[in-house]
Formats: sequence, C-alpha cells, structure tokens
Amino acid sequence: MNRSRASAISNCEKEFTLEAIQERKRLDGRSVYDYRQVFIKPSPVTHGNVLVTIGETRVQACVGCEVVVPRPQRPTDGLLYFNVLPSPMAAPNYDIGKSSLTMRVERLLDRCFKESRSLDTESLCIIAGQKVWSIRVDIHILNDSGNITDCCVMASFCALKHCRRPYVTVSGEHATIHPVSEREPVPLNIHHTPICITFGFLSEGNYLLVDPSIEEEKVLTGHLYIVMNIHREICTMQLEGVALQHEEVVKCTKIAMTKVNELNKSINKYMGIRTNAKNMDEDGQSILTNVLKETTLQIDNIQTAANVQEDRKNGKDIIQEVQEDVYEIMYPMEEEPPVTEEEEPPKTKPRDKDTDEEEEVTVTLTKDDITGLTSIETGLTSNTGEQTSVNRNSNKETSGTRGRKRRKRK
Amino acid sequence: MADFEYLSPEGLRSDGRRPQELRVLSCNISHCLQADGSAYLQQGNTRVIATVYGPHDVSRRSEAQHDKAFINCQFSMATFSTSERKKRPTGDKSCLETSLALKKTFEAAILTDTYPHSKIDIFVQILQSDGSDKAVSINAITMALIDAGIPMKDYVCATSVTLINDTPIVDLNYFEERGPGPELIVGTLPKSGKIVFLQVNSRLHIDNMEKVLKEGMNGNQRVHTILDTLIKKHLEKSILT
Repeated sequence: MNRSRASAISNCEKEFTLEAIQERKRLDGRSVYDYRQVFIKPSPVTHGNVLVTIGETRVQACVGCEVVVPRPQRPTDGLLYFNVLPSPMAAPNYDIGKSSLTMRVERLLDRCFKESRSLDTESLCIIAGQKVWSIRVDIHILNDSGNITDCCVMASFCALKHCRRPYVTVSGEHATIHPVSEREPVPLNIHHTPICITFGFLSEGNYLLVDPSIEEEKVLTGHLYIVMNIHREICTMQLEGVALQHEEVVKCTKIAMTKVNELNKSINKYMGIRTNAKNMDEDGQSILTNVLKETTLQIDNIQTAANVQEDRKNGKDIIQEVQEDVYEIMYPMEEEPPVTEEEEPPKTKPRDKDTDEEEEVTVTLTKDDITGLTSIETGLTSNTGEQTSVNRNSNKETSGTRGRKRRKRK
Repeated sequence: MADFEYLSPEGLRSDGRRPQELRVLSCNISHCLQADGSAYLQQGNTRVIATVYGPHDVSRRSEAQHDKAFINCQFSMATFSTSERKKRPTGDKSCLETSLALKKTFEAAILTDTYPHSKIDIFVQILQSDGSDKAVSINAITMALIDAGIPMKDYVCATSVTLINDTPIVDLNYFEERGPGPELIVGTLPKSGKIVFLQVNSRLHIDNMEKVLKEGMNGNQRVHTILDTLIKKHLEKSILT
C-alpha cells in the first residue's frame, strides 16, 4: 500500500514538498507543529456512532455489543475487537479487506485500549466463564487525507465513550438483560483517554512534522506514533523506518504532551455538546424548551398518579408532535423521525458534563466549517442550552428503538 | 501471580540477576548452509533462529524498487515455543505486526540503496519464548545479515526494559514481561546511538521515559560488545578452517 502511494507522486512534486518543509513551510499553510482542525460529531440518533474528521481526513466509528462466551484462559474478561475497514472510496490505492495498514492500525488500537487498560474489560463480565460482553468497534475510513492513524484512534475512543450497553442484573446463575426501554443503558468503563499523535520524519530524520497531510505522507521516510493520555503517560509508542537520536524521541514525547492536551479539550468539547444539549437549531431549541417545560411538569404529575398508562399517552402525544417538528427542522433528510415513548425516569445518573469547555478550547470550528461537512448539519450550532428531562427521554428512546433489535435475553 | 516478587530486598531479580544484567547470550552463526546468512541466537531461555536470503532478484515485478532493495521479513513463533501450544506459527495479528515492525527497522539500518531492483528475505522464528522475543529477534537478524554480508549502517542491538519500583530492569524474562510494569523495547545503532526500533506497551509515565530509554540504550551497548566479539570469533574460526 505504501509503495503505490509513494509511486503516486512525481519527482518535481516530491522535491517541491521537501524544499518547502526544509524552509519550515507546509503546503496547507500550517507551521511544523500545527495540528489540523478536529471535528467530532457523535450521532444524535445512535449510541456509539461517531464521525471524526481531522482536516479532510474522515473516519466513522461504530460500536456494537453482544453477549458471548469468554475465552477459557480469561473467564472474567470481556472481549474488545477493532475492525478497520478501508474502502476504495477513501483513497485510490485502498483495497477492500486486510492490508498492512489495517493490521498496523488494529494492533495499535489493541495496544491503546487493551494493553494499556483504557477500557476496563473486566467490567464487561456478566457471569464468569459463561457470559461476557463482546464490544466490537468498526472503523470505516471514509476519506484518507493523511494521518489516518490519529483519526482512527480518536474515532474509536469517542465511539467507545459514546456507546451505551444495556443494563444487566444478575441473580445467581441467571442474568437478565434489560431492554433499553426498561432501564437506562450504561456507558462503558473507560479509565483514561489515549490520544495518538503522529510525527512524520523526512530525509533521514532531519525534519519533523506533526499531523502529516496526504501530500506530505508521500515524501516521509518514517513515522513515530505516540499514544498518550492526559495523565502524562505513554500508552503506546511505535517508531517506524527512521533512525533517531534519543533526545529527539524525548522531545517528540514533550510535543505530543501539549498536543494531547489540546486534542483532549476538543474531544471533551464535542463529546460534551451531546450531553449538555443536542445540536439544535436555535428556533428548534426555543420551541422545544418552551413547550416541553410544560409537558415535563405534566409528566411529573402524571407519573405520581395511579393510572399512569392512560394519562401518559396524552403527554406522549404532545411530546411526540413537538419532537417530530423539531426533528424535521434538524434532520430534513431523515426518513423516520425517532419515535418517542413514555418511560421511567433514568435510574443511572446522566453523563458527566464539562462545564468550562467553551473557554479553553483551542481547536475550534466556525459555523461555516461545520455546515460544510455534511448536509445533516445545515443550520446547526453548538448551542449549550439547558436540557429538559423530556429531551433526555427522547434521546434515550431513539437509542432504545435501535437497541431493542439487538438485545438478547438469556 | 500477585505476590510474585520481581525484585528481592537485596535488589536481585527472580532469576538471580542484578537489575541491569543481561542474560547469557550465545550465538551459532552460519548453521544453515542453504541460506546466504543465518544465526541461531540464545538469550537466556529465549531461542531464536534467523535466516537471510539475498540480495536476489525480486520474485514479483511489483516488489522491484528502482532506488533501493525490497526487504521482506517474516516473523513466526513455533507452535511449541510457548507454554500453551500455539494453533499456528504465523498469521496472527501480533506476528504480522512484528514482521512489519522488523521490516521497517531493517529498512532503516540496511544500506538498501546499494541493491536497487533486488530483494532481501529475512525469516525469523522463535523456537522457545521466554520474554524479549522481539529484541532477541532483532539481535538474531543482525547476526544473520552480517553473516550474509549485507552492508548495514551498524549492528542493530535491542533490549527490553521495564520499570519495577522505579528501578529500570533490562532484558526481561517471561515473568517480568507479564508483570505490572510498562515494557519498552528499544533497538539502536550503537555507534551513532540512533534509535531504529522503539515500542512502548502499557503505561509509561513521561518523566520515567528518559531514564528507561537510557537504560535500554546502555543495555544495547553491552549487547553490541557481546555480538561483536562473537562475530570476530566466528570470522577467526572460519578463516583458520
């Protein structure tokens, strides 16, 4: 794969890129240590479905979970699989199926999440030796515009963070997997945030780049992948194809540290949007908050009443109408607006909210950038309005309708 | 294995070594007569066999590179090498990853531009695994490449290092590798001190990085002296016979 990439560049183009970098200039106007703009879009409909873009590089990660029999040598550990799926759409030299690229990225992800114990696999155990959760992360490479490794690691992390698995109760040897409509699904236990920073090296390691673009990747001689978390710990590190002095490696880890902090802030920012308030049109937001505040009150009263079932329907209809309107504003492409049903208040507490994310973010996107990305996002802003409880219920329900398809009962 | 004592109060390891002490390293060069270069390397109980073919013509036209040699590397672990019998010797993800990492390492160390349009095959197999598999493989491949007479920038010497109670421990055996500490595998060109192979597994704090890396590089210097004397002895012997 690398070979066909390398051959896809002409000599004069190669020389031009090299000369530019020797003058510490990059083709897209960045300086040597600059990272491209990062944008993360968690799906508002499905849990565990996240789109991550770094510049023009675009990766979508989806998480699925099912109950399986654990490995005999590790009876209390859940399973975690990463599956990198390059498509020929992403770059002309991509083939469908396994290649050295997918293998390298999958192993890096294994080392990031499993071997550095980022995802707590022991918490995925339901009954030791009999039933554990198997988490599978499918990473679709939609567009390769350089630095696919960082994008894949970030997408996997965000998808795992965004994922919810059904609630399970165990009594003796009997486990009950509650449908999402019965119990609030629970997030996965994630201990720390591994973030990958790719360094590219040119002409025998004399020149260094952060976050190489596709043009730059064609002239690179070597890579250094550093995966770190915000606790200043190196989760994984891999050097490829270049000879470096030991001081240079230490310097790279220090650069990586600052980049990890920046990226962590933008991850928090984008993942926090969903928890605070959904991406919403300002009009939609105001309609929803005004009308739904009343219905929330109604429901609260109704739920205390004896004949809950009958009265709930009234509340439900109002919510559903409003909800449908809002979804039409938000997602004109959507065929089926998510169904809203009545349900018990959440038993688990809502996700952590980052309060101070707005000020600190360094990697930010303007509204124009966001709207340019997908047709779905037209007219959306990162509005951090207050979240009504009905709003949250509808969130839960949308995931519920999907989750019910794949739920399993013992 | 929770109570396993990795470092005794006297500062000795489970197999009686001091923290920075390497295992006994012995090497049998040119044991395989069909190959252009071969080496059997034993570091403690880790035994590795490496063979090198080439430089020869490329077997497929797509492999040919106009400016440098193509390096093919295959890493495998014998089914009987681990305590639990492996289902197949090669083809699993970690074997493929190691193959790729070794290939990249030796692309950086071999003077590939001396052999354009040709191919160098490297085959390495773990016969017995007792920790530091990748590091020992790198040492064995270096010996095989020298035996094949392929020009390199320098020896590539590698060791694995971990950190136990803030003490860096060099050349890990199986128990130490499976232990709680982080694992750093570093391969260097000893004369220039340049790093060509670097892998960190598990969490290593950035403040400890420099300490662990330094200790690994010191270990590599010691590996280098041993490998160098072994090569020289082998040459003397082959000249005399």
